[in-house]
Amino acid sequence: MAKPESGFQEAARDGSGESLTSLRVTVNGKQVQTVVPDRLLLSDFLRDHLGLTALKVACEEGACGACTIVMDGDPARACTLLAVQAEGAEILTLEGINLPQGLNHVQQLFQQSHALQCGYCTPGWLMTVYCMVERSIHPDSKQVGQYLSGHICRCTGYRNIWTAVRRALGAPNSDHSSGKP
Amino acid sequence: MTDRTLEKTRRTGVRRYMGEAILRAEDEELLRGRGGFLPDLPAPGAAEICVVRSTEPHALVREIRKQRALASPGVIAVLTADDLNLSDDALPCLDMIPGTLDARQRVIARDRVRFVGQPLALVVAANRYLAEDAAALVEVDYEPLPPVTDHMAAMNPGATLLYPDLGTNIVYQVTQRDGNAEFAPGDGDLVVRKRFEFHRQVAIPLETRGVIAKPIDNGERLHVESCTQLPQVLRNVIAGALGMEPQRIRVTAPRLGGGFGCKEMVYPEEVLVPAVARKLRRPVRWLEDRREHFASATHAREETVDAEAVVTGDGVFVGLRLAGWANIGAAFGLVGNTPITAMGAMVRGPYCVPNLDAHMFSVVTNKTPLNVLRGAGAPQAAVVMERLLDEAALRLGIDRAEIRRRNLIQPHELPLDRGATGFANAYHIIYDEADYPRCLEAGLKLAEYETFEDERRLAAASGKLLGLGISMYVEITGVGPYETARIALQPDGTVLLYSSIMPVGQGSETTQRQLVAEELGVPIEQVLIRQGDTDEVPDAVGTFASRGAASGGATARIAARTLIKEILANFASALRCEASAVSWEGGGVVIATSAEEFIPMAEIPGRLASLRQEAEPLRIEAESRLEIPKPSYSYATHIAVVEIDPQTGAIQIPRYAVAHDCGRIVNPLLVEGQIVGGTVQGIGEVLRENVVYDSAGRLQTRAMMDYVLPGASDAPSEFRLFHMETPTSFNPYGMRGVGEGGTIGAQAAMANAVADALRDYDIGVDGSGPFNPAWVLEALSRPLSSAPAAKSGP
Amino acid sequence: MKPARFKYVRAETADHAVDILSRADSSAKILAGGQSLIPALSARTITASLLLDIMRCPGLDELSETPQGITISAACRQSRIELNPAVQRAIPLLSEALSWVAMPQVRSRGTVVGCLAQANAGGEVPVVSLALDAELNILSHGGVRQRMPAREAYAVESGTRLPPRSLILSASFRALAGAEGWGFSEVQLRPGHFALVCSAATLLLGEDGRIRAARIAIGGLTASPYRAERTEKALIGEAVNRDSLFREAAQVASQERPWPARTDLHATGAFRSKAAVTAVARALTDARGRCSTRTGATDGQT
Repeated sequence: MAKPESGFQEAARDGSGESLTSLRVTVNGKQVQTVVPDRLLLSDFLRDHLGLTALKVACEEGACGACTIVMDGDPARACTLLAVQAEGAEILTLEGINLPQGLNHVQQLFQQSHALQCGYCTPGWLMTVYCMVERSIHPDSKQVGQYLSGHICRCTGYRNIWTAVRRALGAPNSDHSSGKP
Repeated sequence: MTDRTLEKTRRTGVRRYMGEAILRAEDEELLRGRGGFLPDLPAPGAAEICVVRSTEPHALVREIRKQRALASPGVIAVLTADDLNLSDDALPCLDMIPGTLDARQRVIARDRVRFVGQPLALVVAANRYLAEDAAALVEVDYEPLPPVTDHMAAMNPGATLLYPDLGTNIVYQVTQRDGNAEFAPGDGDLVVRKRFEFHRQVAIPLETRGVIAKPIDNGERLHVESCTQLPQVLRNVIAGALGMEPQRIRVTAPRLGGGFGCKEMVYPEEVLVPAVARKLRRPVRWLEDRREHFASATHAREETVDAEAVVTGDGVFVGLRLAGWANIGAAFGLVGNTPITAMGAMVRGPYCVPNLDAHMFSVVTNKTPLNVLRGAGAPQAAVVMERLLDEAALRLGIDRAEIRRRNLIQPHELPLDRGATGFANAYHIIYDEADYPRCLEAGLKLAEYETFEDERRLAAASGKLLGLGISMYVEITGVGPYETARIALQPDGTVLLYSSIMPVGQGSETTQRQLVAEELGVPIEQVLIRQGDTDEVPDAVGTFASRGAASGGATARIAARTLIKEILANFASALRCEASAVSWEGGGVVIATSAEEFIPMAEIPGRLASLRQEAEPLRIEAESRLEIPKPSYSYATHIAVVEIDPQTGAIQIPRYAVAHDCGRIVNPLLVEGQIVGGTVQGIGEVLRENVVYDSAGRLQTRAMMDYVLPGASDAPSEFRLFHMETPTSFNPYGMRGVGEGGTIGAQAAMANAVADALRDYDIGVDGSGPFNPAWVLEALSRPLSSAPAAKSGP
Repeated sequence: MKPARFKYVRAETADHAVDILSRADSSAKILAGGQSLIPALSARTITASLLLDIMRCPGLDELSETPQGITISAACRQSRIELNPAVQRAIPLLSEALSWVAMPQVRSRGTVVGCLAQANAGGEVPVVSLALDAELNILSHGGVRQRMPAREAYAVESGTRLPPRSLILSASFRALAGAEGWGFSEVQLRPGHFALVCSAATLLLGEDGRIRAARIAIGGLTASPYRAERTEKALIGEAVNRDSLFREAAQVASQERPWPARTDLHATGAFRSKAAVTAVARALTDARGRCSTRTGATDGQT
């Protein structure tokens, strides 16, 4: 069974110029030690090599946010990083913050608020919201809009996402405003 | 068991699901990141495909050289048209009415390319990185031909022809008429003429396209997985293209990461990838990247329309004459002629306008092929009608709400035959029951129309230009021609619905489970759903035209009803009793013995088995096929309030109101989601989205930052929603579709709101803009020499 | 959209980095945050034989403060600098401008010095570098060090005048004076999108309430940012209580651009010239509002 990366290894072995580098990185609490092509994007490393397919590749430009992960405590794009740039880093993907079963608090808020439709962009949002909660961002602060500007959703029109995010940040349940400054 | 007997059953104490805001069970997997989208599916042993695409908008292809690519590391094959043995290389177009010329898209180019992005060759390699390396080494000798990008210029004598054999670039035309098509200016007191330019837009779902194909059953069959809204259609097309019987192709479509119309299409790649799998006798995969998507996923909406309305002095529209030309790009999309046809069909919306004379054309150009996009031509149609109404109101000095009141079709006039205006075979469009006047009043009240002029003055005092725009539309939904569903009571006591509707984000899984649970009277947790597999649902129409709930859901509910009959018949025969002795009540079977026994659905398979002395619990199946001769129609009022900053040209939306009617609502949470989502999409389309080609036919908008999608800050500050639920007799359950109306109402409401804010300026050509800051500042540089008198208030 | 092949090397020190650069071909590139570089490589609009990662070089993640100003080294990430208390105190103009760069998820990885080196049209950091008289500390092959004022680096219609195969070690921004007001304004299609135009301005008033010194920098109007020096000189001595002063000054500032106004997919040059007037006027107005409210311990961001 050929895995996607095996083509690289063959190419490297036949002297055709594929450059490989060793990589040690912690992903969702587990240390991973491997050798990867220099040009392998972090998004492809996580999805194809580690099977962590929650993050999505939707633009490969850093514009849409669907590939957002948490790297050393910061929200970051996996598609605008090489895997080798993650040497020594601690990476969290959605799989790493999911509960063993069911939905965590933020995920429940998203479901209750109908803040997802097709669900393709959703894992990215959840990683940004995770950081916002960790940083205790106030629901009324202008930073909320800044963090949300890092994501595109084509389905929901954002209204329900604002509601879910503000509730996650502590706005009262009765708050139905978009909360935009 | 007759229908009358079924109706006699009464259900008590049973959970109702119609109209309930049930949370979506599918959200759990989606929120955990396990949505099972095509790029996430395991593809063991699959080689990766990279498509080599034309970089020329119009050219003869003299030679394609593969040698350098073949020598590239990790390359398995480099294939062109000659290597693929296609029996039929034309992709289908479903709206080729008699007289339409054959401008169907070919699966792969041979000796001529007609748009940048057209597939020319396929590289198959160990992974996508290596495939792209090799694709860059494929050498194509082009002999460029003059490109044609402007559809109006494409119709001039002497214009370069895309298809010289056809002798013209006009490949489709339809005439639509109602009442007296020869009406004349003298039949009214005022003639309003406008030309409208509608710009090119694209769907941009977050999930790009993809196809996985592999031989199965010892190479006897092919299994094709694709991001398609139409798995059954795709299966038939692949079979025809590869010269195989349909049963030898299995198409499965996973959950889609958005579609918006660009996955309502049969694409070259969906035929090419299976052809490669067959040829190489191995699994292969193609995942579209975003740059490819901009060039090769279908485009939408580009049209020019000339409209002439004859209006009485009281503001009553006597007649509308239209000529319209769609820039359909290089070839037909699956339903590429539908949007321009929708212009003539739906332009009058809820307004009477008894006389119509419309001539609509599709023109080919060297751009990406055009197909439908949420609204399918109706957004443009609404802009035409609504801008004409505002213009007539202005010139006659009639209030904008009042002129609409004077033109609305009244409830007692419905159902109403709208004349020879329909699609495909020009059948008649017949509007179903509705209350358009009540919808308008509800919208006006919700938007605080009465006090708007005060708001405008206040805003002006702080240097901002405020505008309000009204639009109403009628939307074709729940279309036919038919739909099918299968349903089974499984041995474990759950019910499994095999649905024809693909989940693209609209929540179809939940909606259909609600409908089935409602029909059966069982908890929704006992209802399961599967879709997208042509082996399980071989014959279905598919997911588009806001028909998921209204058509698909109705069919599912009928299947559930049929299942009940099957179950009861099984009991009657097993018990050897009269049919009237068994009935369905409270989510199970009631047997009218002296003990009035009740068997809940979950226990039926086991119970029937023991009655029949069989060892295993039974499985009972039923099917339904719903013929849908007439679509039903949703309608709404949209009112946008915009605030323009004259210094930067930025447009904000402080308030947006929608009063809508989609008949009996299944799930209000999902309905609201569709309306808000569609509205924001429509807002983005007219404020910033724009597909740009240069005059040489080269696509300029090639990446996400080039094509500016709406962001979180673009949601209206305040969004107000009002539901009306007028049942329709055109649907077995009184349901109308919802899903596309947001874009239809939003484009027209925004066009009117922006024009209203800039009423003291010459805004230039009407249409869908985009009304970006540069456009706004341009308009502001052209003040009207005599600003019109202030609009009369309510 | 996968990058073509390149070799990735982690530089051990800054000197090691320039040494490798000097021996590599001209397509070799420094990799810091990579937020501009990696997408361009993925789209294959550029290629590189070699990517030289400098993020682990000792000393390159330092920020140092003197009474004269703040020096930010090459590996300092945008979001760390944006939120740094010393930056917010001494050069709040940079902190504010950084909050407009892309979005937080990109700023977590991108570097401040990377913005200066990349010199994207409309880049916020280059604009601030002009307003704050920044100096770039550059290392070239053989240990050659030089300080190049940002004004010199950007004194070219597009691109920069940075020496080839060099590494910017750090950038030094002058601290705002105690009573100096500052303002930053950006016109963009929507949050998260590029700057169409942006402007950074500082003002120093005399005790008579008249302008003693002004700095006006404009980005995005032209491919490279520029200082509106004629406008700055003309403002000296003007009283700030005249309502139309800043709008007039902004007109002149927009008109004195050394190169043609930029047209691209998102806006025409004509639009940008008008938007620049708005941006400059707003930056000056904000600067005026902050004059003489600054003490050692004020907040940096509103």
